[in-house]
Amino acid sequence: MSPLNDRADGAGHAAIAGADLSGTAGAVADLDRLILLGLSAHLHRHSRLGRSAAGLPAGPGQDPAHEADTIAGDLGAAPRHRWIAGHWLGALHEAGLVGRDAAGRFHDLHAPRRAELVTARTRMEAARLALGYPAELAELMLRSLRLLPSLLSDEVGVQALLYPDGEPATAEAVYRGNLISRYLNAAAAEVIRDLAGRSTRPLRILELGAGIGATTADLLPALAGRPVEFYLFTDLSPFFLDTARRRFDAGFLRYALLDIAHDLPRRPDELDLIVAATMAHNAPHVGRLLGRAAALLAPGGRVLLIETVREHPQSLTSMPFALSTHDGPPRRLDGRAGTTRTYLSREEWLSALEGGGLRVEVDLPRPADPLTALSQRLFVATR
Amino acid sequence: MKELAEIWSELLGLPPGEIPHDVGFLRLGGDSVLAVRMSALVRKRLGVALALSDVRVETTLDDLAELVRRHTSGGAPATRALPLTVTPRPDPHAEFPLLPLQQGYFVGQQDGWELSYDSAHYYLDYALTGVDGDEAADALADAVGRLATHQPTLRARVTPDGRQHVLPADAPGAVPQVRVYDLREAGPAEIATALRDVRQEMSTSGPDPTRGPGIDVRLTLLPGDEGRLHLGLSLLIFDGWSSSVLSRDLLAFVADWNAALPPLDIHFGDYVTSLADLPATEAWQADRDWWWSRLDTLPGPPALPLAADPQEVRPVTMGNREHRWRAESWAALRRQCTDRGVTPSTAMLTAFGVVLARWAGHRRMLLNSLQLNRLPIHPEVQRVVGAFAATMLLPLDLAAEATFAELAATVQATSGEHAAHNLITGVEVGREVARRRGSWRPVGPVVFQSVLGVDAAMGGGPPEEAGPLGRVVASDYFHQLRTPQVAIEVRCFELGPEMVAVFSLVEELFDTDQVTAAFAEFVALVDALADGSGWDRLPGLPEETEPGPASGLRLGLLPEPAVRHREGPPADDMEQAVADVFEELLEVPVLDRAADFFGLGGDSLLAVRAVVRLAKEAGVSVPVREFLSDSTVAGVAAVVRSRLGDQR
Ligand SMILES: C[S@@+](CC[C@H](N)C(=O)[O-])C[C@H]1O[C@@H](n2cnc3c(N)ncnc32)[C@H](O)[C@@H]1O
Repeated sequence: MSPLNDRADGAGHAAIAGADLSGTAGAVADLDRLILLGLSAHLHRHSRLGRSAAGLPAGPGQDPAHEADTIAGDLGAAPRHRWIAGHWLGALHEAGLVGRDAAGRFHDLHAPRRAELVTARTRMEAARLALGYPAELAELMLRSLRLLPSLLSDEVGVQALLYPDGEPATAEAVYRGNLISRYLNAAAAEVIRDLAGRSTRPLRILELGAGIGATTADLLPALAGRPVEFYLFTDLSPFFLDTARRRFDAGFLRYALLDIAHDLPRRPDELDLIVAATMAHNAPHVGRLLGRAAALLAPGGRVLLIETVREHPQSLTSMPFALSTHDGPPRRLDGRAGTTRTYLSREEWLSALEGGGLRVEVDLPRPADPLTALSQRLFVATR
Repeated sequence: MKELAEIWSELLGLPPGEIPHDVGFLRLGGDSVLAVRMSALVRKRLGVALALSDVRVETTLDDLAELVRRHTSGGAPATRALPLTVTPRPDPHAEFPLLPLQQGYFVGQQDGWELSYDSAHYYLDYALTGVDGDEAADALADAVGRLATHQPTLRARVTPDGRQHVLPADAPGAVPQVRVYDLREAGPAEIATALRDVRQEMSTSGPDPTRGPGIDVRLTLLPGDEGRLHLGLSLLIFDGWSSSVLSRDLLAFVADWNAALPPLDIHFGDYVTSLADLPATEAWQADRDWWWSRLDTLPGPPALPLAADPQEVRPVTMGNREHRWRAESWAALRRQCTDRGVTPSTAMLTAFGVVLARWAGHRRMLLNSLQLNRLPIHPEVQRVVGAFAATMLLPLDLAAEATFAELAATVQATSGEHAAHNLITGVEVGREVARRRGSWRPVGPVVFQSVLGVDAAMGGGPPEEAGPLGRVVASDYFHQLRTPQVAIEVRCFELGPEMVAVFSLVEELFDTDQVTAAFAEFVALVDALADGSGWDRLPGLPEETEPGPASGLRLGLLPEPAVRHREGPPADDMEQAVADVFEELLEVPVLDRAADFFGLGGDSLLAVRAVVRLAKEAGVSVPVREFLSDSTVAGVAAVVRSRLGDQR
């Protein structure tokens, strides 16, 4: 990898210096465990899984197998959210918590005991502390489980979960300041510093799906005192643009609504940097998105992605609801087509970047880094 | 409507006047995130908490106005506006004072006063069916732990000198531990013995918040998926309303490992702290003037014939006489009350008064009524647990020639008038009465307590389904109360669809036959009210207004030990040391060795503090009882001297 990769990694680790990373993988597993057990408990209570044909609690091996869609019906899922039941059962199966027969039907759902749930809750607390998450994360996870019936039935939108009171504070607390975000954002800021140092003209920057601006907030300081022509902050909802206007005061910031599922605008072009933090997976076809993005770049311009490379159960009770379209699962036209996968693997992200005619310069954290357990990565590729 | 339009205008960037009332939020440019913010603004500005699912993107301004209207109608009862605000204290673990009734209970635990016990507490157990024996214990322990987070008062402690504080959640022993008796394999005899033992233990030694949690939770698992939940609650920490709130909260946490209750911003300590500003308010001063102006004409308690002087008895538990009115009778009684324009509580109070008057032989008497007394100074006050309750002294003057209905109407008016001056509580009034009369006997040893209607106020009865604890069989219960400074009290409460009334009394004080007769009379009278026949009758009250000359021991007419010391400056170093302690605590000059601690402005809580101080200064512990028997400078010095002599 490039010297930039080393410098960015160094900057990232400097930002979390002193943190004990040895328990990272265990902590990630503990967060996941809580959601998996919480989901099992929910399915036990609200679906026919784990019951005999007569509806009574069934012992192991005694309950009939069911289609995921039947379970979706039991859960009262709105049509557009029905796919989520199958998505969950797949994850539970992977974790060994539910059986799947040859026909793809599910049976033998694990019935969590109270002591198990209590332990999982306690360990989740310790885990979120170890990973540098605030109490809001714990609350968010527990609240998501509590809200499942109304999220599934679409009586409550996932926004009410992610942005309690319509304020970004909870999301901000959760998405900034934790170990992996600090590492990734500091590494990303280093990339920006490098870019600004080498540029011969004021920078032109576009951020996609900038949301509550948790990444933006860490990038802007790297631009302080540098010539910037514009930093165009975009997202789907005016809510985010409003919040950002109130929050940031750099004179070069511009704001616009932009939906990447449609098309990227042709202008502004000749961009020096396109930032997409935990949002590019929303594109129906990631390769095409990156190709279009590459076309907007000036020569030597860069795409900076912060992305997830594996869906952790931890987010199963929140993210899928944000992905459902008007009438069903998210539209996927790339390698994910025909599955309910949300993210690309690391290799897929790399080849999607390369397929767009970009040269990958940063791919972090390094393979042996304990932070890889968090499955969030920084990719930077240059045209 | 104007406020709603303004909120929409802010969120949508449209002038308020241009927002059509019949177009959905989405079509006007809103989206689901903005909708969440909208309901937050509605809550902040209009104080209306809409459900998450109430507000959708299709909602129009008209829909929203209708929703808000629905949430605000029903209207809270008109209450006196008090210029007090409750805010969370910066340090939630800081000490705060005891409220007056808490002081009474605290002092009552010091074995100094008449009719005291080592713990003032309420014990209750009730039956459970359909218990999941393998899960119940874990679920209960989990629930208690979470409850101690939700309601920090579960971690409250009282200090030896009568103040209180809440332990941090991670302090050792802060979270109450659950005890489980697994009798699932036991036979009937073993079960009977075990139940008797646990009841005996929990009735006679309640949780003591000076040493541990104010709550004791135990579970007995029985064969056939049955069980019993045992609760001991210190009256120093929890009032009657709290025990309902606690049961509800606890069962909700038991039922669901992930249940969340609406969060509480304030707790009991915040409430008590804000009351410090009360005496500066005009309302408080007006109430004090109102009470002080009638102190000298307050009657004494009903002069019930006594079998023993309260000073001489050392009760361990109180005896109970209990009667249940079946759902139909209770419903009939409520209907009768509505027709007569009195509340069921008033009817019960009047019936109690009638029985007491006939028993005591006179018609004018002072009762002590236990009031929930949560001042409406914060919207969460009703959902918080704590010892909010207060007593209210209530003089009854029953007319000789009035029907029961007429008596009840008068009682209702009197009681309403007194309750309207509730900023000064019965404990404070009682102290002033005692000071003026120079007597330290309890002023209101006959107590009336009714929580009829609480279930409705809480929005229905307690939950019956409790997850791994199965179903609560509310009608199968056992309970026991110990309240200090009470000779006899009646308690009225609802149990599901039924009504219960209990006489709780210090058996040692009364002739058993008289108690039995009085209770039978009470039950018969309430029956007659339920069937309608009792209202227009003359209840047969005695001729005399006031008690006649005492023949034998009678409540309120007991001899006062007279103590006399020669007046003058403290006679020696010991008397000077005692005078110094008095001065320091009472903040008045103490120049006379015959001056009495209470006459100088002391109260029972300060007396406990004086005893604590004397122990420190003089190195002897003076029993509260001896301090009280002669609380002059010379008298206390004499006790200290004799104790010191004993030590040598
Ligand atoms: C997980 S959040 C990340 C927010 C922000 N980049 C950060 O790092 O804090 C994903 C964001 O992508 C946005 N988003 C989702 N789908 C999108 C689309 N099709 N076009 C543009 N933005 C989209 C969402 O509105 C949300 O703000």
